Amino acid sequence: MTIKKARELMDNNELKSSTLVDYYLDNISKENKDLNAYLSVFSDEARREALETDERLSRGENPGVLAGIPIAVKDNILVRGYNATAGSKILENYVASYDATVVRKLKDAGAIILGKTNLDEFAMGSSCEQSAFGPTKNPRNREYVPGGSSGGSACAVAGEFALAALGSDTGGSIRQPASLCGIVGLKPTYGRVSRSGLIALASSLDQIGPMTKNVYDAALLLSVISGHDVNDATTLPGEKFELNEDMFSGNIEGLKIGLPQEYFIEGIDSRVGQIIEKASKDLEARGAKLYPVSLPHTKYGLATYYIILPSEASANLARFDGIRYGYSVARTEQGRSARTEQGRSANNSSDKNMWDIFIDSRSHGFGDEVRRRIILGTFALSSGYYDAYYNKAQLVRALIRRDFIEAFKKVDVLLTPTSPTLPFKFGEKTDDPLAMYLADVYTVSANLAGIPGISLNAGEVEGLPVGLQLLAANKNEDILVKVANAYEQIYNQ
Amino acid sequence: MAKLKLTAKEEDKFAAELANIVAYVDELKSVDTENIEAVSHITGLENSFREDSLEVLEEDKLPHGQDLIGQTPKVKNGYVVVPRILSDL
Repeated sequence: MTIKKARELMDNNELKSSTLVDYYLDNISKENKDLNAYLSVFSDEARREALETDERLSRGENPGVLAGIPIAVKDNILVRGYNATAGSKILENYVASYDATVVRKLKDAGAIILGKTNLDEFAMGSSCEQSAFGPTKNPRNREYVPGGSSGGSACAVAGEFALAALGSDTGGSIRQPASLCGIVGLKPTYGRVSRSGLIALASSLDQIGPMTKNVYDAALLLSVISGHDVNDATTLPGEKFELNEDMFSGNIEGLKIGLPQEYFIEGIDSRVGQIIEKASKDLEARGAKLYPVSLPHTKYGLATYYIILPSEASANLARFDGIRYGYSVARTEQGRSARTEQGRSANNSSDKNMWDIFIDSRSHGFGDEVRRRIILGTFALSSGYYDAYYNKAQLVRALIRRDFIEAFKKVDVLLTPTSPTLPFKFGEKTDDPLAMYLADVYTVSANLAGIPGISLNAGEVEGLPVGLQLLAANKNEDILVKVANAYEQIYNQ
Repeated sequence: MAKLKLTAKEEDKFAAELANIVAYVDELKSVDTENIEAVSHITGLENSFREDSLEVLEEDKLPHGQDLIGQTPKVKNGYVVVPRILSDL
């Protein structure tokens, strides 16, 4: 089932939203204990909204392009009145006080939010193993990780626990889990989708995007969530993404596809390489033209990313201080009753001074990977090392961006693997942070350059999905969708 | 600066892991960035202004500040109570 199909059936009165919602809630209640795709499920509210939608549809009303469609949302995106943990103990009991812009747009289009999905803590990870609430499993093979950090969203879509999902992508966190679970994941151009209400990881890299069963659904969801937002000054003015017929024509005659040579060398699993090569030949047979291209600074992408990301993350996570919302040792030591004893409380905390509360709350609240990156980030930003690390990384970032600008003067899209290896098993990379970082080697550059990317399934090795990544120039999601859709047609033949 | 406390065991573990990562990112030092300017906004967006106008929000779009303030460890009359800081600086 896809969004498109479900909407058609609902419009023809052959399917009810409540049937669809019950189907997914039923699957969730049977399987979520083992798979851990969802951290919270909004059963009652989802059922109530589905009935309401069915009633409106039966009255001939049109509640929107996503009317009655059950969607899962990553737990670092705020849905008002519900927990938003970001996969962290420090936000375990935090309740969102407003809707993220993307959530508001989904609701306005008639979608039904089924629940919130698991992720690596604060979206830091590539396997979903860093969540404070336990790992998510890959529904295709439960001995394997689903990828990360949007692993819960990928599992929800691939495992029949939602019709579609939202994820967030800072260095591949939509595309890599989409690849590992065999679904479609789209990271939009930086600024295409509002980040208002997304718990920030690295603000110059983060983008929210769709994770879906097929390319059409991804494009449809993007058309709903994209657009300028006064609450996010980095959104592109007047740049809403719209669907058009040409995107789904399947006609890619004469379209130029670049194969970046730096992505097909050491470190790539040959079985992955073969599948991606075959995909490029299939597109060539459809009329596209293949060109070898060079992105000379590719090998510096990951190092650049692992300076810029921790630097921005360390600043963003400074807001977790144990004084305001979130986990606080001040809260646990005085007990919740102190909150109601208004007035007398200010001096009770004298046993602990502000820095004790600050440091103890953070040290207990944050997990290992988060603390590792905060330390790394504050180091890269410290006065003695700022030029050598942060500033240098910003300059190399400019070079990486320039590589892409040059490449897109010659070709329309770039075709690469999404991930250099097959999905991996639990625990395989947890003892070696650097090995885990290498899982993102093909995806981080798109975030550094701000360009859009999509991952879609291109085959399997021993039952494990292999994803194909397409990258395009800024704001060219339409070309991405066009090529991805054409490939999907070939693949499904 | 990170405002984190580590146990001795964690210190050893993190020191080794971070040394590895720093060695890896050190490869950037070999890149020639002479005459390169850093990019401030990756898609080239400059100055984002909005009109200074009054907007009347519908009830369900109003910000719910008290929902957030209510989640702090200590509240008094709608304000967040914080520990004394002057003597600690």
